[in-house]
Amino acid sequence: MSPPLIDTAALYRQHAGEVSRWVRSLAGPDGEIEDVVQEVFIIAHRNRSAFRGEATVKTWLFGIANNVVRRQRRVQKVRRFLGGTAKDVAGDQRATDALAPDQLARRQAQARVYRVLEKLSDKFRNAIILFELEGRSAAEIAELHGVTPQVVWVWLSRARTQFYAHLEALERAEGVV
Amino acid sequence: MTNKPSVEERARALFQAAGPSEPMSPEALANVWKKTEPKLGPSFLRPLSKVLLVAAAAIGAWWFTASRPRPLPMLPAATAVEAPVTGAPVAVAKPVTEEAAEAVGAGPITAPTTQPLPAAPRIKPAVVPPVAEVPRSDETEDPLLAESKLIAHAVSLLRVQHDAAGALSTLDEHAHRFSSGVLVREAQLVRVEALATAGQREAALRLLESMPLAEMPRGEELRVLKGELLAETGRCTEAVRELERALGTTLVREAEDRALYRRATCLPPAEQRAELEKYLGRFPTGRFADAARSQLEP
Repeated sequence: MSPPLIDTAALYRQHAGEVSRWVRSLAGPDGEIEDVVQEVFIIAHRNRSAFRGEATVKTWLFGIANNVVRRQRRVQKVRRFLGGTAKDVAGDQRATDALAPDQLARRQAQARVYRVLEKLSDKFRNAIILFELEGRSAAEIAELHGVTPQVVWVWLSRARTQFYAHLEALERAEGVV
Repeated sequence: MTNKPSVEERARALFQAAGPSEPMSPEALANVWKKTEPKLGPSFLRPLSKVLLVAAAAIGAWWFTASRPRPLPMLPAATAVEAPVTGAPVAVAKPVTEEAAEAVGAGPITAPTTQPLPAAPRIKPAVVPPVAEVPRSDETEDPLLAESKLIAHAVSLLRVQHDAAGALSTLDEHAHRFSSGVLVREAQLVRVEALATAGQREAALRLLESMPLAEMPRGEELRVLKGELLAETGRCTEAVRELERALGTTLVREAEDRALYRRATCLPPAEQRAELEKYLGRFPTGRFADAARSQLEP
């Protein structure tokens, strides 16, 4: 007997906040968060009959969110190449609300981190985002990705090495070091 | 004397400054649910929902780009060709700098003219960028990747090999395979340039006339091109209207140069002199300055 279908409204109530946080962190400052969150739950609804409980709901939703964000980033890259994206434009516009100095510093730091992260593979990028920025434990990251914590530690080690190298390269290019 | 922090310490400081992301507010989440719920309809509506979702995201992106404030070429050159997905052989991803675009002669949206025009300065490319390989059709390939490969190939043919006919053929294949693709409008932008380059200027104009320019990225630059093509076909009244509309926005300097000159040459003789003088006042060393001066000579 197949398990009952997931109630999408209940799924949204329970997990939308966390999904939005994943999406915001994985997509970075240029992400179109609301569209992605919406698409995640549309896909979850459409595929709910395929969810059989082998993985946790979190792992399942994270997998969907990760795929949707990855797709959005690819579309943005192609659009940026072909003609500029919304954020390319909005990034040059004067903000309507003046940012407080600490908010501005935070945004600048985020932009810098994500610029370096663009150089990493999706797997390593996610590991850095979830561990270093979001403060998730290796066990949590392992659950989201459906792997063991040991695998996450290996990813983190390699991801950090690459991040440091790319950060130094960026600093050299900027004449910082 | 202070020791410089190590790269590990600098990275740590950067992570701390960036901090964790915030979840969306309950109000924002409620709004998203309001938009999501109607799309969870019966199965026969699902494909339509997907199309609408993608279209909404695309239209939103294009709407934002309509008033782009800084000059960039319509299509960057293929110098920075990079796969958008790891392992992809040809597709495009990297934002191209103005310098990089200029280095391979990638200009702004410009109609190759049928009459002699003063030559725009061109910088010879230091390195000839590689031409993308012909993308192979693969049933299992991700549609977005396949789309981006085809468009990248068309751009490469147009800008690297100067093969406008080949680019148009590739764009035809894109239109055939991805009539409802995510990148249909981007393909149209490439097609406009390919048609104009191939001398099919009326076809380029027809395509521009079918496009919602206000929603397009670099829409006002496209409007200048439309005005130029209208002027070429003798539709001066419409050309002046389009050019004036474009000039009423914040145009990049290069497009403003073209629009002011073309508008002046499209005006009745009684008004032309004053407008050419106005053009020279604004662009004394502009692309058309010599032509304007010679037209002002008695």
